[in-house]
Amino acid sequence: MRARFASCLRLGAAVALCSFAPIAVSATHEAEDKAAKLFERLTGVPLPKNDPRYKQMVDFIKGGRMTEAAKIATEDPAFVTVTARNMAAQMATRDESPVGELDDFQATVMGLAKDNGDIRNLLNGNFLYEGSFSGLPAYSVANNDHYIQLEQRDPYQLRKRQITSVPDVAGVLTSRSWAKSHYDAGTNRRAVEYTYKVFLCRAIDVWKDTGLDDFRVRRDVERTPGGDPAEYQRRCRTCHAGMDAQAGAFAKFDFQNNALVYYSSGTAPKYNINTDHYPEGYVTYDDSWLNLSTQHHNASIGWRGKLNGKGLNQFANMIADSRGFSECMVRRMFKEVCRKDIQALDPDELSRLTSDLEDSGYKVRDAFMDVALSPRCLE
Amino acid sequence: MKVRALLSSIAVASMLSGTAAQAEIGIKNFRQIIQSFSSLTAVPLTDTDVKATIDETQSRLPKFGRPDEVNSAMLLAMTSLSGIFCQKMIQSDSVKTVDQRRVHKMVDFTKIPSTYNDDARKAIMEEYAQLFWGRSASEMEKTALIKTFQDMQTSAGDTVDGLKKALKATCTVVGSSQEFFMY
Repeated sequence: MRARFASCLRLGAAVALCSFAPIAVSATHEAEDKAAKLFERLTGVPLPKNDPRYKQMVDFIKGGRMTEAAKIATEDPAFVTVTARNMAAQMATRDESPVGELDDFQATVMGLAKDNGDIRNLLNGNFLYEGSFSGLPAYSVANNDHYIQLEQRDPYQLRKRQITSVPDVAGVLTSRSWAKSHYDAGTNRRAVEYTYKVFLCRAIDVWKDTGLDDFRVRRDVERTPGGDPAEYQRRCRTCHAGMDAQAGAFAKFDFQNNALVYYSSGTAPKYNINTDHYPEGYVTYDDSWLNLSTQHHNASIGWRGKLNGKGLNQFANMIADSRGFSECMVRRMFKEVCRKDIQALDPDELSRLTSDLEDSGYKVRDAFMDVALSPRCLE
Repeated sequence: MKVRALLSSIAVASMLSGTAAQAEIGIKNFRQIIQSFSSLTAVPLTDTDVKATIDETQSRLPKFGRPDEVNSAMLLAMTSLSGIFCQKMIQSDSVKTVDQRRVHKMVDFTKIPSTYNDDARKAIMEEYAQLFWGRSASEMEKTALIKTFQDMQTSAGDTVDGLKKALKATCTVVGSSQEFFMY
């Protein structure tokens, strides 16, 4: 882009017109342009022409070895600390902002990108990532000090850390960051809403469904809000029927006194509050869950495997094994690297990239490279 | 005089970025901007002065990298960031041998600004353009940047210290121009 932009300037033409004009460029110039663009897309930073990696990338591209060229870019720390971090921060924060201090959720996305790990481990892994050098405060579910220090010193130095704080382990769903965002106060329904939003790219307005059985809707939801039972049927039920049925997965989790809390026996008290609103409603005794959101428009999520279970790990596996999860991760990578919504731009290409991700073992870094090399990204 | 030099710098920055504004191109977000400065200048983000400037400017940089996030506060933040990274790079290069320097291959840091003729100055501008824009500077751009260099030379004095200030001013203008933060 930069080289082309320069050519336009020299020609004295407006960029808006010039960028669509056919410009005869030699194979070398084209390879140079691609190398610069590929590196910047994957790392978020430019590659100086006097950097030896620039020539290596150009040579690979001229030889048609595009993946090897992309690999050079993903070996730059900025691929992890800028590109993966930008994507991670938007997944970890409730307002989907890329701004915010580093935490265990973001570090895990970054670590998986660095190690070319299986992206399903974000949900079903028994580990998080932490800083790999000494002198950092110890990891804690009660504060974020470890990651604040890590960010100030070198957020590229990451290693896996086995999760030992809770027995029902589910990757970042058992991170302190996620707990702070979604288990704090409330009723843990937010955790279901955001699981769909973050990992299936579906906001509640998209996956709510009018035709679901509401036998799992809890007692704290009024069935005659404002004295109007039709209001419950028309509005409340569309979200609660599907959401409450799955919220059981989070029933043992809470966030109290700034820390992730797990209830070994029974469930978090928030699951059985305001019982007088509708005493005949569902009583939560354990962490069993049921996915009712499988039909109508939600069939497109592409569920595979068990649709009911007990505990967070089983729920996380159901999400991770769905086609919708793979598709969502590709969409997020494409948005970060190419700045475009591939679903709106080219659904067929999204399908191809999603299949590539699954066929290649869900490898995060490989998927980033695949996305960056998509003709839809480089165009 | 310093105010005049600053205004001149901003004018040059606006001129350099004017054409690019017509293109439908995204911009870097705060993280990409900060890391780009560090990668290109080889100034680490752990530098105390750099950290202080980042803390002071980060909230004014684009969050998402959308073109509608470009505003005056953001451009001023870019100038501050570009300034500190340029200053640190010049400091670092000034104590290195020529082959170890990031840029400034043609600069003799023991000489005063007036000893540099137009060709030498253009060579310096070319290095900055290659560093931040990844391309050669046009004659028009070089002329504009030399004007900034001269203004700062007049303002800061024709001294060895004035040379570093003139270099910093020019480097800052190139680093804070729109072409640098386009994505």
